[in-house]
Amino acid sequence: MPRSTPIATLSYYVLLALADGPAHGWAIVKRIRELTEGSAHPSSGSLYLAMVRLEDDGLIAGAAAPPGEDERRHYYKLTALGRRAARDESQRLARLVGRARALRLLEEPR
Amino acid sequence: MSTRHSRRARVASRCYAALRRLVLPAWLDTRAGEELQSTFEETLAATTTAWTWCTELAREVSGLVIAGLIARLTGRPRRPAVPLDTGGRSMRIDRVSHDLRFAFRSMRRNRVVTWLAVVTLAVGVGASTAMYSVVEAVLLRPLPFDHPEQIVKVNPTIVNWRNVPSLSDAWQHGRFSPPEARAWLAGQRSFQAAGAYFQSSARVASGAGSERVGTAATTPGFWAALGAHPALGRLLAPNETDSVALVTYAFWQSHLGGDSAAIGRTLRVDDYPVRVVGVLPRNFELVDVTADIWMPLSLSGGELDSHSLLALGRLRAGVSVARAADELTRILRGVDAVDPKHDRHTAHIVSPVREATDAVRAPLLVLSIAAAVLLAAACASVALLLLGAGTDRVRELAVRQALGALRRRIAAQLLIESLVLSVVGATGGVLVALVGIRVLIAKTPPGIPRIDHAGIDVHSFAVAAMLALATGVLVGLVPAISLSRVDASESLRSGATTASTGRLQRGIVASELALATVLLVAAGLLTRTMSELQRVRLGYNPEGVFTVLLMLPGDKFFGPGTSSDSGEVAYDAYVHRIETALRTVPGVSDVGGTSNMPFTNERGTNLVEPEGYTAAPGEMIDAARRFVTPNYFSMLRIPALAGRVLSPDDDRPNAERVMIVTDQFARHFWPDGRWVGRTVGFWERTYRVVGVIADTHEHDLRGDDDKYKFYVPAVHAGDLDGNLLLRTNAPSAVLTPMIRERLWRVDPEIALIGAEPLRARIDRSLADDRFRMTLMSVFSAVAALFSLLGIYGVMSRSVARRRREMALRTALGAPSGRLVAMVLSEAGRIGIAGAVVGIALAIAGSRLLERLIWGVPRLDPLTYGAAAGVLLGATILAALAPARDAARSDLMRVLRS
Repeated sequence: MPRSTPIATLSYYVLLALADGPAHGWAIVKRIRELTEGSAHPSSGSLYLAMVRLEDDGLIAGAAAPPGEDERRHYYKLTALGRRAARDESQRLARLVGRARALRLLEEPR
Repeated sequence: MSTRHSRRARVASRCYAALRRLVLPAWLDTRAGEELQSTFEETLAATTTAWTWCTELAREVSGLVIAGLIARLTGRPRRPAVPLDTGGRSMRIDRVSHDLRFAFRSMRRNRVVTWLAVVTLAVGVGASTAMYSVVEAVLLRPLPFDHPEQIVKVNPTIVNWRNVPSLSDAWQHGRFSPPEARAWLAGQRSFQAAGAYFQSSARVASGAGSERVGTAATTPGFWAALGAHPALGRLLAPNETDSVALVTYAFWQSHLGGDSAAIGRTLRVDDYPVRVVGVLPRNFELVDVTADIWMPLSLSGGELDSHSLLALGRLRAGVSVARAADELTRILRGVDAVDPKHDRHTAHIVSPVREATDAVRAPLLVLSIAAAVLLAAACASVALLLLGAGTDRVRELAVRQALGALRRRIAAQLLIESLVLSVVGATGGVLVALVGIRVLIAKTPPGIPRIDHAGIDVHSFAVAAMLALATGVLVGLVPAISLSRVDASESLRSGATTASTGRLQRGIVASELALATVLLVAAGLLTRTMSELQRVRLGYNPEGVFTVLLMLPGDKFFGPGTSSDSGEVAYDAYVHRIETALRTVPGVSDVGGTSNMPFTNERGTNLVEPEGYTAAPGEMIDAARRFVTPNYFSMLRIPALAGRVLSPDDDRPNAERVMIVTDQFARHFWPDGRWVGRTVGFWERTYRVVGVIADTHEHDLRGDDDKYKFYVPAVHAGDLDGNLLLRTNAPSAVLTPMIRERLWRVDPEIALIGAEPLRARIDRSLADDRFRMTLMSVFSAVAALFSLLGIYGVMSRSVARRRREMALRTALGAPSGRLVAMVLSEAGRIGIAGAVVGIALAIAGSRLLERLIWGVPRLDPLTYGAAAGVLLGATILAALAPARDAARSDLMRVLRS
């Protein structure tokens, strides 16, 4: 059953960040900042709350540290389900952006 | 720089960890706590400027609190969860996060109220947390040893000393002489381990010259009693020769490179080579000893009457302090019996932390009570702001209720709003506290033990933050409750609030005013104390006198291999060379000296035998002795009340032995008034009094000075201990380098300990009073500001509520002055109520101030009147704008709105 409600923005960011491969908390924060060009900047508290929820929902899971990385840290990776959820959400957003373009919202100067 | 940063990071991460455990539910903290912590630390570590560090910290902390709040409200997840479950839990998440977003929006809408409330809370929480953290570090934190409660200081007290006012407190507590310490250490059974120690200072070669370093000498039992372990090397072993030493961690870092090569290195301490064998642990502290070099103490020999040793011991389990004291008394009586002339002893034992903090206990407690009062005022102020904002919103809430919102939902909404506000305010409080502790440590006058160990005390912060949260919750609920009593359609029509909210608000303002009055009275009493102290007549004129304190290498002259006579001659010539060298400093017109520099706390007293005076039974005729150069009196512009002051002729080696005494000395010993020409026996010689001078304050402006003083020419003592006075008006910055250069040209082994105008020394003795006065004034000003904002808010709202009535009155011809008077008299009534309660509280609380104030009565009517007057006046001023507003009520505009 595809997720009917949109995924919360922060959770979506986490999924996007992990789509690039396993990472630990601080790396996820950095990737989110890059992804959003600095507009999103979650605090560690909200990030981990979201990640615990995502893990419970089976969208992300703990992972072994990639070779050469700090083994004491807890790494997360995207599960198959998570990858699908991210894809669904991205498509939904893409459709929305398509609508926006059709409404000539994208060309308009601010 | 970098150590300060790492310290800052350590404090922040410790606080974050404590907060994390506090706000996150256990299931979340166990699952993600550690990772969360490292991510937090890395986030902070990645910042580049202090400002981004602070903003990141604030963001992280508020994010943590909100996450904790959400996690608690939404409950523990079921694991394993059904994938993609969109059941009740996420509905609740949605609702809470919706409420949170709504809260932030409405906070942004009421920007002024939000800012005021947040800043007020931050100041209240921060100030009280900072104050209590200092109190914790100074008064409450145990010493860093195992079972510190077993460690007690041991003081023998000589019965006769008890009633000698000129002896300072430290002497009344008493010290051991070497034979006494020997007897006690050998005979005692009450302590697992005990040791004697002795604090001093020494010259240590450093760079181009020499510097003074605090030193201490200890018997081996000292280390066993403390149970200390070295950070490097070893502690002192029994029967150690005196050529080895331990150094403190700080000294190791600053002077010995901080590495293991320091062990075995040789220091030159007062020209003796001393080998470093160990480094003390970093947190080693002993409240009343500040020494960087610790050496062995030999108790062999020594005079029975030379009382200079301190002692401490670790009590055996089950042995009471009283029993240990009895034992000590018994042992000392045995020692006394050997020599019938020896003084009678009683023992006196106290615990180490207590003794050293006794002097600072009263002021710190007073200041922390003041901080608590400030916190209460801050909470009251926030309550007012939120109540006001809440009543302003009754209309909005009524609309929402009319549109079908459940009252429970509205209450929850309001609650979340005020909770968020309190959380943000308390978070700001952490920042204020961090800054506040830094300021307190930096501005506190030296001499408060352990204050630099103060960091944010989590418990104090928790209590202050809880108070802030409780205020938020209570006040957040009031509009919801009053809403339930208001008929929605009624309030839609009139926007009225209930009278009870108004009464509550006026009550809160009045209590705020009362709290502010209390602080103002305290600040006033301390300010008057300060000005009284500044008016004290010193008995001399310190202007244009510059003080120079030296540590001279006396061992060169009196060490082994030199006869004492030839040593003395050489030493005198040496001191003379120094004086001559200082005379060549440009701008210096005269150089003199004294054995006891004023306001250095160097006391020296001797037994004297004034001619024709019979001592009362048990009275020790003990007077403060000063060796001075004859020009001492002209330099300090001290005139003779009777007879003359010293002249250069008195300083010749073969001159008659003469003495100058102070007024009190003369009056006490010779009440007949025939002073000049009487003789005084001292050091088995006889001196003739040639002059009397006015009493002087040389230690303490409060009058706790040595009562009876006498001055004799330095030639009869030789040793001025390197205390020199220069007559000059040149500024310190110019003088000090020139003085140092001249001194080191004479001898590079001279250590310059202090160089500053005498006036600066005197001012510094008032530093404690100035600090207390300033802090209390700041507290009271902030509290007064809170209460005036309160008055302004309440009166504006009261005018707004009665706008219709006032407009109607104006339309019916009431003079506008009448309306102004109406509003002002309402404000005045609140002000008077607050002032009356405040004065009553201040009278009750002034007992606490008794030990801090001086020269002004505890119930000084002027101070109380001024405090009440100032607040009343300000109340009226704060109410003026709302009153003018009332007078301008225009019926047409009101009716149209």
